[in-house]
This record gives sequence, structure tokens and C-alpha cells, in this order.
Amino acid sequence: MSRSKYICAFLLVVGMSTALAADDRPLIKIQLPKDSPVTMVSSDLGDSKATPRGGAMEIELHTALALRNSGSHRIRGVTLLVLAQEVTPGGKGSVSLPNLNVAPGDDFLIKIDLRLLRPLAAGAGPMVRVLLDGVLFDDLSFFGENRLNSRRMMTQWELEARRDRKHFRQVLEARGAEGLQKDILESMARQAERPRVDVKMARNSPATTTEAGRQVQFSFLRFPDSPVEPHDGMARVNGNEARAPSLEVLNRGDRAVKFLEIGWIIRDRQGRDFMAGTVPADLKLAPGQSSRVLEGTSLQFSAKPGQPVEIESMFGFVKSVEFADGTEWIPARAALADPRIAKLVPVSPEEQRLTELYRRKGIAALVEELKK
Amino acid sequence: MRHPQLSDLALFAGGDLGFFASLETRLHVARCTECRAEVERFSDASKTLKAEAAQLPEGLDFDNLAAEMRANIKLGLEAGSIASHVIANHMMDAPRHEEESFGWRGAFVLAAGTLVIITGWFLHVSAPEQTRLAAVTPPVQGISIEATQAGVEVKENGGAFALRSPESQPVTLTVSSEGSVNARYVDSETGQVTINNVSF
Repeated sequence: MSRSKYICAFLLVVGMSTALAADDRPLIKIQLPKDSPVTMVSSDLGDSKATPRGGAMEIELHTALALRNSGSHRIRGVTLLVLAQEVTPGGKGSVSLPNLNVAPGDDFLIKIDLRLLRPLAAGAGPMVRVLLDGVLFDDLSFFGENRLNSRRMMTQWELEARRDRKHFRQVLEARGAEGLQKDILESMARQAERPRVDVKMARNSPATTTEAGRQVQFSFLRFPDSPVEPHDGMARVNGNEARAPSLEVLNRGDRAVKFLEIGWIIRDRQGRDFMAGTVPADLKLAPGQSSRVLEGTSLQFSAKPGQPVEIESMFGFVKSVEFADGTEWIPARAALADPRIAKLVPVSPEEQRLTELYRRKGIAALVEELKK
Repeated sequence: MRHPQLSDLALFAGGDLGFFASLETRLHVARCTECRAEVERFSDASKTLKAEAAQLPEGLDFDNLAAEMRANIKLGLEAGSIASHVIANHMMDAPRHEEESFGWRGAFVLAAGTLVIITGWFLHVSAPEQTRLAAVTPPVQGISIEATQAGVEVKENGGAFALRSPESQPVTLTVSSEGSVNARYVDSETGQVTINNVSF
């Protein structure tokens, strides 16, 4: 066969494969450990589809997994690790259900809606792997590999849930269903009015123009009962970008601290405040010790696509603390009611769930739920 | 004082100048307010451009598209060149019926090349716009994360992995500067809170 025929055949193959872009690889593989306290009842791939897009394939996956609590404790939270290592080897995802109340033997549903954009040239294995990262029980015990620190996150969500359920129960007892309704409506209004901001984040690259931007100091909102006090902090700001935040923190309590999160608020040039996110830190902080928290990322904020939020100033507050023994501290509701942050800090997942329950089913359903 | 050329200042502002030229320009810019202002203007223009680029059709990665077009055009030209070469040789050496045969093959090779270009272009630009998770700017060090009301997404070397949020539900976004973002919503079917997270 002459060279021209080989080329002709090659082009045909390339053309056909580009046009058809068919792929019969398994889309998803779900792996649960043998001793897992949750077992798979069924999985549904729904209307998942793959669409060729030039030199790439776009895959939409709508998965619903029915899982069963096959252990002996009530389940309060589950986190699944979602990996697409062939597409984004440096990134990972997770889907968590906090604030569950699943009795032993009961089933629950977890949905994974994901989109992948990957090159057409592909390997042989499944495109997405789903693994169990952790399960939190009602006694705050935990099962799982905890690769994503899901134990810490789910414990924090559970503590917030207990705090907020207690608050709403107290409101119900003190002021009745009418008082509870008023409180829930106020919460809904706060959630609706909370300014939203879109964020793009990247690891910092070496500065190419060191002249660009300016150092902006943090100011701080201090909670009286916080075991940790931030007292100095700054980030490099350039337009809508904040780079490399750093904070000095002091352990003023009598217990060693191993993790903390500082809430981060930004103010734009129009005087509008936004909750930018949190600055977390793994550290070993003995009582009375200070330490500097550094993060090597850059964050860009926009109110809408193409509308950058120009950062003017920033302030922070302690959002959570984990002690060396694994217990955690979170701010009281009274502290979060401070007018400087009340409309900025997102409500807890449980408060979000309870307000949604009220919105859908009314006050009677909410009262019933709080009695559980 | 001898000022750098405007083109060098533009490259410097974008971080695209070579190492030694960049060092020289940096030293100059540190002393020269005029050139520093010029560099700042280039930086601002670049930001404006990026912001406007974000309004391009969603899902459209212009860099990838351009690279793909260049590759397809090169492939087509090479195929055409080889075909012409083969045809020319046979016109000199082969009998009449062979000339006709290779003329047809040459046309077929060109047609196949054209088909690849057109198919690639058509599939890329005509795909339905299904998401507003679009970032046109190239990620720093190959990986970036983005959070919008539509979901959270990690992008790396042309690939993307997004966990989507339902459009009908209000979504609470939280960002952690260590490199992760959460999108939280209440599932309308189960009434449960679902928290999607991506991280690097």
C-alpha cells in the first residue's frame, strides 16, 4: 500500500472517530469498603449523556444512589469522595449529606450531578470513581478514610445543627408557633438578602509584577468566648484579587488547638460587604502561644460574571476551632447576630433545611420536626 | 533615561517577557513613574479584557479552540501537500489510467482532511450551551477552581470536572482559601441538605 493510502485511511479513521466519538467505557464506579456501615441498595444513572465537543467529550452524569444504614447507630452525616483522576488528576470532589437522621436499617438517597470535560483520547477504566470518605454517627463517632477531613466538617455541621435546633426549640417553648414562625421568616429574609459573590481560585504563581497591588490589613471582630484571638493579618490585593492571606493568631484558652478557621469579609469600593470565605489552618497551638497562618492561594471575586468586586478593605472573625482532643468550638448564635456579620455569614446547613421545610410544608411540619 | 519599548512593557505587564529582559525592565519600572503607569495601564486593560472574555459563549475555551483550528489546518495542508506530491510523481511516471486513479485519491485525501476540520469546528461551536461555569482565563499552574450559583468546578490542563447545583434552588457558596469551595442547597425531592465540594 502506498503512503498516500495509509494517510487516507488514517484521516478517515480520525474523522470518523471525531464525528462519532462513541465511548463504551463505564461512566462511574462506586466502591464501598467491605466493613462499611452503609451499603448500596440501588444506583440510577438517570438521563446521563455524553456529547462530543471538538477535541473533547462532555459528559453529564445524574446519579442517584440509594444507600442503607446497615450499622447499629443512627447516621448524622455521609461524605462521598468523587474522583475523575484522568480528567483532573490534581483536583477532587465530594458530595456530603449533613444533618441526616437515618435509623439502622433505613434507606436514604444521595444524588451526584456532575459534568466532565475530558479529551477524547481516554484510558480503559471508569471515568468517575465514587468512594466513601466518612460516616458520622449520632454519638459523634466516625467511620471512614477521612481523606477530605470530612470528620471535622461533619462534626462542625452537627454541632451547628444542635445549636440551631436548640435555639428554635427555645423560641417555640417561649413564644409558641407564632414566635417560631416570626423567627423563621426573619431567617429566610436574611438568607435571601445575603450578598452573593462568585469566586475563582488558583494556586499562587511567582509574582511577575511585584509592583501590582497593595497590602491590605485585616481588622477583626472579636467574640468574648472564642478560645483563639486573631490580632494581625494582611493579604495582597489587586482590584478584585486577594492573594496569600496571612494571619497571626493567639491561643488564649487553656487547651491545645490543632485547627482553626477565620471567617473572611471583604468590603468593596461602594461600601458593600461580602463573605469572601474562610482562611483555615492546621497548626499546633499550645495555650498562650501565637502562630502565623499562611495560605498560598489567590482568589478573585465577582458579583456576576464580568462584574469584578473591587476590594477596598477586609475584616475577619474566628469561625471554628478544633482542639487537640478532637472536640470543636463554634460561635454562639448571639455572637453571629452581631450586626456587622449577621447578614453576611451563611446560616448553618440545618437552619437552611428547617427554613426550607417551613417554606414547603408550613409551620406545623416544622414544629413536628423540632420535636424529633 | 532610555525607556523600554512599549511592546516590552506590555509583555512585562503580562509576565511574558524573558528572564533577563524582565529583570532589566523591572529595574527600570521601579525608578520610572512614566513606565510604571504604562505597565499599570496594560495590567488594567488585560483585566478588562479577561472580564469581557468571560462573557463569551459559555463553555467556549478560545485557547483550546484556536489550538485545535491550527492543528486541523496544519493537518489538512500536510495531507494536501503529500497528495499533490504523489499526483505529480504519477503524472510523470504512470500510465494514463493510473493518473486518473491518483487524481481521485488525492481529492479524497483532501476531502477527508476538510471533513476533519469541518467536523471538529462544527462539533465544538455548535454544542449546546448547558452551563455558565465558564472561565476563559488560563488557570495558574494548570489548575483552578471556580464557584458560581450553578455549581463548583475544578479545571486542569484542558479537562474540567464540575458538581452541579439545581437551578431551581438557592445555593449557598462557601470558599476556603486552602483551595476548596462548597455549594450547599436543599434537595427538592428529599428535603436534605446536599453539599458539593471541589478542591485541589
